[in-house]
Amino acid sequence: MSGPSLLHAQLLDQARHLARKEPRRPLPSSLRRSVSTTYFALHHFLVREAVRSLLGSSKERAALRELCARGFEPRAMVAACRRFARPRLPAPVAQPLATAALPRELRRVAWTYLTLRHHRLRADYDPAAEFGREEVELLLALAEEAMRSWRRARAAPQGRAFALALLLGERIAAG
Amino acid sequence: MEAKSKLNATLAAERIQVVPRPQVAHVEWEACRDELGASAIAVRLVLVGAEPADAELIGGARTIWEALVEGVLEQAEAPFPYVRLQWRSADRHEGGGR
Repeated sequence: MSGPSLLHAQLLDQARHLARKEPRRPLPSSLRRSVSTTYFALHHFLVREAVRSLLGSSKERAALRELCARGFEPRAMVAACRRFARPRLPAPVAQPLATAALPRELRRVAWTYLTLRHHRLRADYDPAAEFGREEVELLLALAEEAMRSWRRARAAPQGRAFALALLLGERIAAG
Repeated sequence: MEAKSKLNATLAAERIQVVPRPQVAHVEWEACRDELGASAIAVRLVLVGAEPADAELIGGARTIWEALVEGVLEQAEAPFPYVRLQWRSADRHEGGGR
């Protein structure tokens, strides 16, 4: 599933390399790039998985999936993750699913995306931001766990709703 | 203030205390806004653990992070906690991150 040819897997490998390339005294720039790359690994993973959840994985729809993938926007994904980070879904999303409860695995994916996005903005735009290697390693571990969590939760109705929410953002909860 | 007390309660919860390494040495938080302008909490956790980072240490930190985030978000109106972890070696007496 996550072979080396997939973008998110390549990015995770690159993030690990950046985090560990200076074993004794990591360069701040290496750690910053590692954090940013870890975020993009999860971002591309979620976009790919959401598209496949919405459109299926048949070869015939490959071009359609590529088109759909370009429609995902980080700010909409942040808005979706804020909704899916809570234990219960808002009514407009819960009603068609016939449940408001959210599996913990799905919430973990949402927490992790929000967290990585926050630290990615720090890493890329805040000149005063500092990162330690342990914090960077933790963010890598969170991304890996979020990917495993998604694979456990994606078949649930809430998983498909999450995939849709990542594309629609706040509009998923419009009453 | 309620968010702060809940945060402290979460940190003190048994599920965090059972993590052998690292241990929470210090916590600070302040209200902030996220990139969409929504209320959020910036949390700074200082953990004590050995260097270099190893799987046990990172696993323990992940447990702490997860318990903290989940505990805060169990409150209906609580803002999302953006956690920053800083580390201190067990043999150091002061300082936060590096």
